[in-house]
Amino acid sequence: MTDIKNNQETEISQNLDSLFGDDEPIFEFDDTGSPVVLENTNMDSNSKKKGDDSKVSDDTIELKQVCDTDDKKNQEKADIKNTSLENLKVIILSNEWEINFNNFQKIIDEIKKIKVKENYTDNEPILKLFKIMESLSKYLLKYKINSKQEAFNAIETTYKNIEILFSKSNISKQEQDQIVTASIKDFKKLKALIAHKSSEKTPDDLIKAAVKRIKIFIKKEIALLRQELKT
Amino acid sequence: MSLINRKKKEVQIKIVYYGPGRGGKTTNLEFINNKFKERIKNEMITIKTHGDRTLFFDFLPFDIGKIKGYSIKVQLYTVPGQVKYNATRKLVLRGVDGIVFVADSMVLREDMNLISLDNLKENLLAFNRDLYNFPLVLQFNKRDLVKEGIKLIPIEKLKQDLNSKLKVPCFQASALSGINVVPTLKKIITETVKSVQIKLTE
Repeated sequence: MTDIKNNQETEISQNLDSLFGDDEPIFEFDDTGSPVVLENTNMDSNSKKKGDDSKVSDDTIELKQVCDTDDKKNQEKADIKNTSLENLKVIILSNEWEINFNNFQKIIDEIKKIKVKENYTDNEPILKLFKIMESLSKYLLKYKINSKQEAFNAIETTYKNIEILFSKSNISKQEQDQIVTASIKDFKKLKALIAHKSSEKTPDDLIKAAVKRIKIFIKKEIALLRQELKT
Repeated sequence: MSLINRKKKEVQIKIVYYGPGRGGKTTNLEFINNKFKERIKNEMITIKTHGDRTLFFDFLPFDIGKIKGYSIKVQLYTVPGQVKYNATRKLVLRGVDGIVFVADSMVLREDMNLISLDNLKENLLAFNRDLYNFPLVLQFNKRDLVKEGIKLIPIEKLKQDLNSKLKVPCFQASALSGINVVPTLKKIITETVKSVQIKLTE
């Protein structure tokens, strides 16, 4: 019985290897978030062994290279931790689980707090991005489920831009302007889209108008019928 | 329930990627589709709206050849993770043969993993299926986010919270970079095909 089971597993394994390749190693992650090869295509997760460096595949080397080159960028991103932006990030991320419209009020409140806490009076780019986030939050709060879906994306993108400006201390004025200009451009595009939408008649409006026309038509028909009956 | 056509000697198995919203279920399928596009020879069908979230499901079908004379056709599905879309999740779970539960490693999502796993148990029960006796693989996704300065749930804690009772195979992963996406897939297909073969011999 065990032999039959083993044969079946081998057959499945061979088929999967021919489709997906048999060179896919299994990784685990070390404390720095870098992948470390555990074993080659042995899928028993309970019998994991640490692979020595000599067994590290080319894929891993490439991955490590990619991870290493990203380290500088990540160092800057890591600066968000324990800063005044941390709470704002939590609120933004929590919307990814389920869109809760109360979160948009929280965003507005959090931005107010950050403005009080940090002195941004001279930091026009960040202030402009905060302004966009506040406007988007107000819009989402007001229109809730009827909001344009692009507004959800816009609020996330704007936050990411704030994070870049916030964490990169050596960012040039030109780069800052480019980020802010792009955000403003996207925001204006969204505003135009919203304005266009509100100028269009909604299905509700169209139905109301149709019902009104039908009522007038029926009234006329009844009036004519009454006249006919009288004569 | 897998579709077994004894005349055609064909078995169709359905594997669903389940888990909290934004956990990386679609990213798993996208990685598989992109990497093995030529070998899979099928197009991934995806319905995304509302801020790129999966509102209905993603679907990726492919053949894995013959096992014990039966041609095995695999269908991969994802479900929308957001709490409010439970009706769709339930619908996609109908006839499921194997599940990959994609847990989010971020500390912020700790509760969401638990809620989602409970939701999976509950939804499976609606189809008279028991999660404790079902082909299941856990994937602890986003392990690379520690580099971004994001607090992650320690692996031991994830195992304790999600796998102490289930005791199913589990993988650490980064679906975005494709790390352990294929081993996860191979494992769930193996487990599922094995369970279907038991049914075939019954």
